[in-house]
Amino acid sequence: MSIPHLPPELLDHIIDLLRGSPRALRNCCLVSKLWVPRTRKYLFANIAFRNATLLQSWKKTFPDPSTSPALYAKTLSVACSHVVTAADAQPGGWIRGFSHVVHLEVGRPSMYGSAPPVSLISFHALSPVLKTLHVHLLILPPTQVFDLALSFPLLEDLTVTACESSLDDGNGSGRPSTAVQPSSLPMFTGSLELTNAGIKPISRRLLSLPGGVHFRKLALKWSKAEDPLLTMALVEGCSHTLESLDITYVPRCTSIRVVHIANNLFRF
Amino acid sequence: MYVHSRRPHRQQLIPFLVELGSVSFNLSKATKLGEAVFRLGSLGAEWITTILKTITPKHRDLQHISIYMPRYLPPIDTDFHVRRTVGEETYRQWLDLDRLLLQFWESRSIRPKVERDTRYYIECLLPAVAGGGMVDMVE
Repeated sequence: MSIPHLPPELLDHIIDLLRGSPRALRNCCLVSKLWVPRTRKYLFANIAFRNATLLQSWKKTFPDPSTSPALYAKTLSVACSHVVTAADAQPGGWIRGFSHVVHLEVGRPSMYGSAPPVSLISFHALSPVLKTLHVHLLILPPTQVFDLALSFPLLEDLTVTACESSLDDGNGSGRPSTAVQPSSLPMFTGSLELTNAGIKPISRRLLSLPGGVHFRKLALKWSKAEDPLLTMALVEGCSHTLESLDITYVPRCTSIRVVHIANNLFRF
Repeated sequence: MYVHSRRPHRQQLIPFLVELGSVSFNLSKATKLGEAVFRLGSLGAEWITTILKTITPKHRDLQHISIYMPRYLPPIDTDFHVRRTVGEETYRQWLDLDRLLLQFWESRSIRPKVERDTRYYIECLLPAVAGGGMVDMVE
């Protein structure tokens, strides 16, 4: 049966209307080769590798990065970043296929166990159009996170959660990064979200950037006594652009008083 | 006045964080600020007041102030208990904040947002704004 000729705009419109229906999109993908790129745009828009098995499955299914649908991914979430090796990031490596990702989320499944050290080198400069980076790593030198952020020239939003300050590189005084310096630094004009131990090392490095920071939204959560100064500096550094400030403050605690209150004392 | 119950009491354990540090941001230059959200890890409110005091008439875009109480609060059923739980000093801090929020309402019509779950605490700690119906309860 011949496929009726449809103007490309009409075809795009039809596929656009089906964006919320993966099953329909998968069926459309089988209609014609002409329909494949249009449907893949939605089918592969959000890719999440929640574990190593899923990641290996992807590599097995799409061994050739040049024909891989990774090109269509706008959001990439990798929970098993330790499985992504440096070899994957070489020219022709599978992860380089995700070159149009706008939102990247890198994490690690657990802080426990004996997982090998994580390296984020594989994700450096992954996508030149990346605008949002979310790093959720429980044990990682902050330099790695910062180097990764600097490798995306159009990066606007940065979220770093649960960095372990005990693994801070050096004395935390802003040691120069070891990675190749990017030709242009991101402007950091979107949102910044930092929690706890991530605030100190990341803030320090952000504040040392020659162009300064221009975040419009700040969400900061900290609990250590030494952090407020840097946090204050960060807030003031963004003063001219700041539109939204979200502060969570857990004061420094040296002890926990446990107050025993007998229920009956509250009865009147 | 309270009456001792004669039956065995089940004791409640309520952890209180002992506040040592203080914090202050100068927002006087952040004149584009439209929203400020404060999330408390303990019941001390002085830092919020200190920050909000740096807001100036130049902050014309400021429209939203949200205050989120600590996640774990002991169940309390009277004003006296709230006051006793937070302590006199902390209670005074809240009254300072209450006065400041009232000024924000009068000068800018800003209605602070608070969580509905903590309504009882808010009504006790922010009597002027909460009692006057000048807060928005959110889920």
